[in-house]
Amino acid sequence: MSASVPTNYPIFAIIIPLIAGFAAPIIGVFGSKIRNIYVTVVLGIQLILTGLVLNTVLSEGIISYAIGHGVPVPSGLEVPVRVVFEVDAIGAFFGLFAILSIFLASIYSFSYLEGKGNLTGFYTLVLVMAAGSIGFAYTGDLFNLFVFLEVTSISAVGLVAYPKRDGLSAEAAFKFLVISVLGGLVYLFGVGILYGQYDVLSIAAVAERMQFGIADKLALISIFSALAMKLGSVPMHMWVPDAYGESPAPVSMMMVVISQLSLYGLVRISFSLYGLNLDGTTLGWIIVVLGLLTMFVGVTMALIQKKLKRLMAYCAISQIGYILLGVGAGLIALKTGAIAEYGLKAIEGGLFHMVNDVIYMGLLFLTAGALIYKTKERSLNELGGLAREMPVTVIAFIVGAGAISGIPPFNGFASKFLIYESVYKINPFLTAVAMLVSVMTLAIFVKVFQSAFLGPEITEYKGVGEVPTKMKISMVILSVLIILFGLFPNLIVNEFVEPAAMALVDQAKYIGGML
Amino acid sequence: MLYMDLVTPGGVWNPIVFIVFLAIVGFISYLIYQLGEEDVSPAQGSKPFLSGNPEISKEAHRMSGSNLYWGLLESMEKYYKLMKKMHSGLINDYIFWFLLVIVALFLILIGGSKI
Repeated sequence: MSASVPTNYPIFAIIIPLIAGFAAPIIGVFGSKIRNIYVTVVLGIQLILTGLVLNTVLSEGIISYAIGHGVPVPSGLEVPVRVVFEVDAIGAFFGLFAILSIFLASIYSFSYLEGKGNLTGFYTLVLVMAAGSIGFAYTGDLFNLFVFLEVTSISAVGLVAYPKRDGLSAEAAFKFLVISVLGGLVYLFGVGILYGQYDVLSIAAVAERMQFGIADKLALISIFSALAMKLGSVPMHMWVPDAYGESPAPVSMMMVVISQLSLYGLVRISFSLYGLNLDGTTLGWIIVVLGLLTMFVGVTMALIQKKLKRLMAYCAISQIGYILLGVGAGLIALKTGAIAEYGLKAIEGGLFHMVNDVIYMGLLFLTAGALIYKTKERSLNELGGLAREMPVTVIAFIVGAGAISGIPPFNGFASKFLIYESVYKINPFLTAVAMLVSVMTLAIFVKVFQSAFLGPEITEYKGVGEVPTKMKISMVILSVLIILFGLFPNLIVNEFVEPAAMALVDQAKYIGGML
Repeated sequence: MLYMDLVTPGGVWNPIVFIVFLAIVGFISYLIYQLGEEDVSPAQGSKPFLSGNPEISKEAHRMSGSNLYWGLLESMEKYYKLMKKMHSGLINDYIFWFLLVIVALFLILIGGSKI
């Protein structure tokens, strides 16, 4: 196995959707059908490329890729102006599921947004977001991480604002814009401190030179807090219900990916940048406490929501808490020799839950979208008796609700099982809270199921029927993935999650792969 | 079957064993169901007695989302009062919480000797 494999897949996975995004307005001139095929083909190619990247990384090792060259400056020296990618198993693994999610959300949106004005701008933003997401997952450079974070955030702001529905979506987009800009600037401040200290921006190079003084700790605070806010950690989560709740359903699904990207960034910074220098206990406990707060506040706030998508947004916040709990507990345990094995499993649980969350939260948002699409109603109090009218949607909802509640044999159970078992060894109280939150999540989705699908038929919804095929396709694919991941969790964990977790904890290999 | 086990340091999970177990329970439940009387149908049931009041239509009788978990939510009233105050929807408050976390991290990470 070579330490560094040259291949052009990573750059193509970014460049193709980026160029295609800017070309979309030209393609849009030929009509919506051609445009939709174009978007599907571009995202399909990107999906294949991310699959090839993952395959290459798993079989041959870390992919290092740099474009650019030295630019002469007046002093006679050359300043390297370049974009560096370093793709390891976790980046490749997460990149694949990010694009799969955006791909399915796009197919769903072809029907969901049909007839809602000119959508060429919408798909331009989707393709740019897809490019930015992969750039974020693949980059090995702190500044480019910022650039791709901003690319995804700016496109997400545009997508949230797109429906132009009674000002609410515009307000949500504005709030997300303010939060994104502020988070981005604080992140950039942290990167500036590190650049001032070490004169390099590559994660591997900074990690190698890290002295871990006060300035490095300041940089950690800046970068950590900015990413924690962008992933929706309590108490910095308030923008999430606004952005997820007021945007169209497929955009909510893409927003889950955006939050997970920030979570991926946080994990990457904690392990690959600071890993060897960290004692692990303090930062690990900070992440665990944030995880507990995020789980509990998210689920209790979801319990009192009346609007369907706001309810699901709070549940999405709550699920992020599980991932933080797994990763934080892993960080603590890895530094404690006796339970290091539990630490690795907790991280595996957290990473597996990250992917599962993208899948089942995406599905739940799509089922919420299906209900809104057919009834034009967002309040749970006004829905009811729709199980007879929408059989595919109700089955998809049951699968998604089972997965998020951690009911076996769905995928959410498998990842939660890993987290429960590992975290228990660190402190049983953590597992107790995690299980309580799962029970409350189930209670919430029983409420949604009862309110929306059960009960007598409501006259105005008689004969509304099922959603169009394109919307059904996305929901069915996600449901099948949930069932498959739940039935064969060992395959996913052994083939993909374990190498990703190993890539994360092995900081020396990450540094060696790049330098 | 063992190759399908998801192994953790503390236990094992095998979804196929779980499904087989569910199938057996389902089959036993079906057998018990079959033991029931065949000649009873819902149509033979009498109308519900509502303290002498007339039965309201099924559509008007719907239980909405807000009706569920009323008791639990009442018992957590103080918590929710605090949470609703915290979730004001104002962007100023969003930024306040962000700054508060930065300050807390500063105190813990810079103030503490180890990370």
